[in-house]
Amino acid sequence: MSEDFLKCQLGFLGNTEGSAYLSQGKSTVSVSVVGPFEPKASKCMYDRATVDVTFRRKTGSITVHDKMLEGIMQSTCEKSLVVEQYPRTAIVVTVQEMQDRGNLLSTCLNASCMALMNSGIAMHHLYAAVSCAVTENEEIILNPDESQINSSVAYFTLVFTNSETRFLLTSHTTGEFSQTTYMECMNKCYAASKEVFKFYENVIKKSYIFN
Amino acid sequence: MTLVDFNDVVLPGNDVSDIVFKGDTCKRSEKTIGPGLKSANNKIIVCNGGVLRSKDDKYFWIEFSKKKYSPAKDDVVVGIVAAKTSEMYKVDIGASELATLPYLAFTNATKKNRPEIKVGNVVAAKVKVATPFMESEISCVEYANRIILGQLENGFLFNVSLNYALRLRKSSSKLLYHLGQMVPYEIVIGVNGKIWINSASIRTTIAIGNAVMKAEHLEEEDIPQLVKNFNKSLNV
Repeated sequence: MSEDFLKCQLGFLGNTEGSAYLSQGKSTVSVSVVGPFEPKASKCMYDRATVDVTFRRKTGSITVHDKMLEGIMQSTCEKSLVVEQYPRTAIVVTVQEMQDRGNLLSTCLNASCMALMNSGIAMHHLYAAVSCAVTENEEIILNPDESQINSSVAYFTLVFTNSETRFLLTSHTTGEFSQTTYMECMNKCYAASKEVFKFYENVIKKSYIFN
Repeated sequence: MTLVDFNDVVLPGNDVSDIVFKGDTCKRSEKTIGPGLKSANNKIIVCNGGVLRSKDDKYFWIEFSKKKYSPAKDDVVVGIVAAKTSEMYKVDIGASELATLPYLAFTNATKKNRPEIKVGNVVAAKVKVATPFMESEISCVEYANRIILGQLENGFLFNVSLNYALRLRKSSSKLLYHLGQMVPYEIVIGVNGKIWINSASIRTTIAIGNAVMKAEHLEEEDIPQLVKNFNKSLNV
């Protein structure tokens, strides 16, 4: 992964609790986090916070596929937040697509992680998403571009936590592949996720440079 | 896993058990963890990205920035009355929900002698009950030789970040003292980031408000210059 593959700006939205603007390669998203606030009675859970992720397209309304991305992001965010610490509240994460040139899901996930960390909401762990594509001759490409995804036979997005033991948080796959290919992809993506965590650390260190 | 030290930046999910349990100045059971840390499976895990701090090798916490206030017992807060019911006021203290303020929770209040506070008025109060499972309850009852609580009349209310509000409340903060030497004023700083200011004229009140807001991102040594500029703006 090259040095300027990931770029991030934190806290650029004034009226939200946390925000992040992340570009990964040529894809860019901005994420805002609002909450914890008091939700409608119907959405209120008495022992934990409800996490709500909304995805917005650059233009037009969202499709069924986007709804699925929302679901993946929602379950990932919910697992890493300490929802028990904020009972009877709601946390809303809004993901705005700025530019999509492939790997949208992993960009959205990484940006949401940064925004959640920026908001100061308690988290169990951080997470990093890495995408990879498998070509016809079983070659694995990390962070493929749009044309590489289109010509691939399988496409994975794997999310890992930053705990000491290896935890796979989310796995989203399309296409056909063997189990050995999957394991190989997992090893490669896990190694790449370490780089993403290093990037997170640098961003946070920069924001606390005055302390 | 890299070894972390005090005053280092830590991330959620980092294990800081080694450094917290290290040292034998006090027993393991006497050590206390504060905001941003939690214990799970005999390990101390970081919950919020920030700077790891400790005091006397006994108290440990994470210094991180957040925008939403979460009530804690005995905090002095400034709130805006948002609604009135037959028995209590609902006060917006900037937390996830409104806090309750019973009519009887005022100095010298009785069932017959109710406080006269309208919706939209500002009060200074102390948090009495703070649990995430219930609405927090605040009270304006004053005890002998303590701070003055109750309605804040006139004046100017504005918001600052929670960390800055805490910093201003520390006695080491010189800004308020220096401003007070130029012009007399009243100030109430709530730990919920709401600051109320009042002085003899609206002009000075706004000037003080601006000075306090400007000083948020200043170093301690730049504050005399800010106060000098403040004094100039008063005499224009």
